[in-house]
Amino acid sequence: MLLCGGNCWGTEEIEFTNREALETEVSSNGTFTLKWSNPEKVEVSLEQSGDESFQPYVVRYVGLDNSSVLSGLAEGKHYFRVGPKGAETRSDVVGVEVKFFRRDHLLWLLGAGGIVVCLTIGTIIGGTMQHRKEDVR
Amino acid sequence: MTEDVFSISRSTGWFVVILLGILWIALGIYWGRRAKNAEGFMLAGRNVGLSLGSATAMATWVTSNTTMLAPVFALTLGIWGMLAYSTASFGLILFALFVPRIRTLLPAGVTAGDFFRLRYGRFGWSLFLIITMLYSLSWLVSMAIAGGDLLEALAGIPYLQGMTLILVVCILYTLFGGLYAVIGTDFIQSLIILIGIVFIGSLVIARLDFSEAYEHISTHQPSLLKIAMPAALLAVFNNMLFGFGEVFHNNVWWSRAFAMRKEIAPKAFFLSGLLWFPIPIAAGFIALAAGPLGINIPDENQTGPVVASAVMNMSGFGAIAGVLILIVLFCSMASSIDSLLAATSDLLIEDVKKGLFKAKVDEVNFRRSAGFVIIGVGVLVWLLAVPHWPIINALFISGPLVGSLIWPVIAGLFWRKINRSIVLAGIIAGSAAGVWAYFALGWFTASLIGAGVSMIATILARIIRAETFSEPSPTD
Repeated sequence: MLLCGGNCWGTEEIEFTNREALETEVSSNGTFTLKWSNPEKVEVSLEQSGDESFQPYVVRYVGLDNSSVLSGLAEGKHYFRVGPKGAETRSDVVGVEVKFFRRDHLLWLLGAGGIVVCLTIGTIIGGTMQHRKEDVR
Repeated sequence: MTEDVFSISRSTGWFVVILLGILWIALGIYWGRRAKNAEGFMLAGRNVGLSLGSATAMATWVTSNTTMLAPVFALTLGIWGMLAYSTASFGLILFALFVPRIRTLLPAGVTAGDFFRLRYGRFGWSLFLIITMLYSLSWLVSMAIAGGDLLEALAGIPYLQGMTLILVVCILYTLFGGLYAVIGTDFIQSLIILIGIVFIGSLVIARLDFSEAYEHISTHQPSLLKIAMPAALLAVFNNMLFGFGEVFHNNVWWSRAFAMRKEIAPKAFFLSGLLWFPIPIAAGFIALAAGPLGINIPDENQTGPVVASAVMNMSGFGAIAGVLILIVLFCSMASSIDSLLAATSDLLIEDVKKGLFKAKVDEVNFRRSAGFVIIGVGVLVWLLAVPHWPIINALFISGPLVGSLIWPVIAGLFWRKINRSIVLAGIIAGSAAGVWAYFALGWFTASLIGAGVSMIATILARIIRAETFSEPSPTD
């Protein structure tokens, strides 16, 4: 660090800027927006892994943008890091958690939703049939 | 690969928007000449036919939320998300069944407020006015903000200038032409929206290898294809009920029910619902293609324009891509802003000024009053949009409020007796429970809880000490 003056690759460090929100909020639908600093506008590589040690990992984005919306992630913990494309330096790893709505609550609410919708549509159709003659006049 | 997608210059952006603005205002003035009296201005002479009727209902329902939010639903909730958004069309289809009843109960009706006053008295009517004003204003402000954001993102026009421009254009042609202008411009705007979405959708289909796309999504975005994804499944019921609540209570739809010829109105609403159903699916499908096509989405709220621009750039359209997207999105915003401006100003004149404050508005002064109210609503919307608040959240929070009006509307239309106090308590309890659910359980449960609580209260109101509704008089 001393030899490079804190900047070995000719760029300032690229780091996640919404780390706190990412690590404290749990997504109920598998969607996150990752934001990072990129002061020198270099091409960055965003990498994802299911393991904190990134063995193995996949590249999710390469380009100049400073953020990326990742959606459809499966339930569980996912890890991300970002850094200049082609370089070895990487940001600190950020871990995000996806936890779907509780199954027992889901079944109750789906049941309630089905009943409310069926009763609503049924009552409208029933009411229409009942008043048909009167309304046609 | 989104860095250069917004490639139209600021001058091009200004040129396109001003040109469209002049066109809508000129058409507004032309069609507005037919509005000879108050009824002509507010209800287009109660003589709107099938093609204009279906087009205006469809175009009004294609808002900036449809073109901007349906892709977000698909991106975040997958296949169920696309379907969830489309279920809002069921509201229009079911409203088609309401229309004959509305016209029988209120042969001389002008606004949705007439119905609430007739069925639920002064307190119910006031409750309706509070809910509908909150909902209409948050809808209007959210579209004004979306318009400003769009012009800034696509053409680099500063937010305040872009937002002001879109509002001024819509205010001017609504001011000159009333509902005649709104319906006429809606017809042209609906054609442009349909052509634009089909065109962009075709480009996506042409570029996409479906087996590779499926492989990509199932590997990297597996939850988008998951059948039992809780948030997405709940969003289906929630969105459907939100849509029911929006359509069943709002004066935008009631004024159209009064404006169309009685025999064609049900067909027009049914047809508009059918035509609208595939639009969120097409807009959502575009968003689902983002991952497989390697398009980065930097901001969830810009999903639609980002993917559409990127796909059109890939297909060699260059800067024209931005212009075409601007035209389609501008039309989707204008077609809703004008309708809401007209319907909200009718409500303010008929229900608030004439109804609540008992002020006299005769034929001579009507146009002047309507003008003041339209400009007043426009200025209020502008003032609320200037701070650039995340008002879209306010619109979603209004979901349980409008959801709790679904059953009171159904009961008022189709039942012969009810206990009003229980129904009104149900509206308040449903609204409160839904807002609680929004924060405690998630947005995808709010309208469902609001509608459910209100439904239980309304059913109880039919059983417990129900009183027969008074018969409407011919002037109601």
